[in-house]
Amino acid sequence: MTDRRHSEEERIHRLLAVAAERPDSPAAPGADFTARARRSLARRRLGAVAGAVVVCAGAAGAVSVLRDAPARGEEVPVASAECLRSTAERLGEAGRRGFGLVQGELRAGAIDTSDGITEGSTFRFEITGTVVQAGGIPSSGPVLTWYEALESQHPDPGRYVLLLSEAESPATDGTPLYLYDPHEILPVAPDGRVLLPCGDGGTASVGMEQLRTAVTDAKSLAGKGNSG
Amino acid sequence: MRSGRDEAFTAFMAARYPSVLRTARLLTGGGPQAEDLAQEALLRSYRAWHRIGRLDAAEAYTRTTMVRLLVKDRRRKWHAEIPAERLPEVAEPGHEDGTATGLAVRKVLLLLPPAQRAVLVLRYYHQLSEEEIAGVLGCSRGTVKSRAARALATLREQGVLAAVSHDTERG
Repeated sequence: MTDRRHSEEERIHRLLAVAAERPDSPAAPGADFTARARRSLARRRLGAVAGAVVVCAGAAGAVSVLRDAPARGEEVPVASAECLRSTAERLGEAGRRGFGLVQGELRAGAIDTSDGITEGSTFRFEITGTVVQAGGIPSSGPVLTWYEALESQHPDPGRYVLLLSEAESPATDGTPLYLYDPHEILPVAPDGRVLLPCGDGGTASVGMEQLRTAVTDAKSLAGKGNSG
Repeated sequence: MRSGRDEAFTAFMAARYPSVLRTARLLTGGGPQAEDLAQEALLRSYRAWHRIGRLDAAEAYTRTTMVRLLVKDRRRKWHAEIPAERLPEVAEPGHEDGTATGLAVRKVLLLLPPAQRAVLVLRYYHQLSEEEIAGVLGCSRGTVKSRAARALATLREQGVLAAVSHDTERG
């Protein structure tokens, strides 16, 4: 009995081992993936920093929060040239893929979305201004975003700079959808400065205008590089 | 510090990604969903790297994460509709082609609810004990046992186990 059971377990193991193999195994992710993981970790930490700033702002007022923050060890340093350049390059690259960069307010409340094939959850984003323009992206007003994500993965309500592009198809009720890039969600501090995840895993801030200029330059440089 | 973490994590992926991906294929039935699941679990492993501590624990952590994502995050893309592959109905008795057998088994795996699939993979592919599986899934040993029994029944009903049994006798 035990032998038969053991033999069956062996058979199932062999069967699964065969099913686990594919002739077209892709290469292992490398340093690029690690960099993505590091950015993802930095964004989570950055979200926590932004959340703390927002909570403090509600209690004590935005201006005093930023003035007091260094004393509490919560100072967000000014972004280094390298941090700004690498962020601008990523955002500029997204711009060449049709994404526009907008600032605005993420509203509380998840909206269930399903296109019949995939399911997801989305949120409303009130655009208050364009940082870097792209075709089809409104310069102001509420839009419905889309990305395959769980409600728990949505950013917290608050002010952000987001990459948006017009989705190929609208929601089932005809409402236009705007795809956001979940890897580039930049919180905006109460003083209007944008928080960036930097390569060292830390967080730094930059003014909106400075970010706009850097991304526009990076987008245009990348465009020239490709055409040349 | 960061560079040490990055180097260790990149080295872990280089060494263990094929193995992680094999588990992901069994959990998802293969295809791009397997890579999505493996990579999401790897991102989470990177975040927890300071807690994982040892390289040999990293694969177990990633595997546990994949299983929990599969069972609990029902709305993620690894549960999206899978494009139909051209699969044989069942593996032919005596069929020597591992690819056809693999396709047939993956097709049957997709018939199983995710929790049963997870138990089957952990019990018979990774050969974890019922107690260990209960720990991974956060359920009782009895639940693991009944899920394993139901999964095996489906494998038998679909004729996959019989086919392999025949192969074994021939070999």
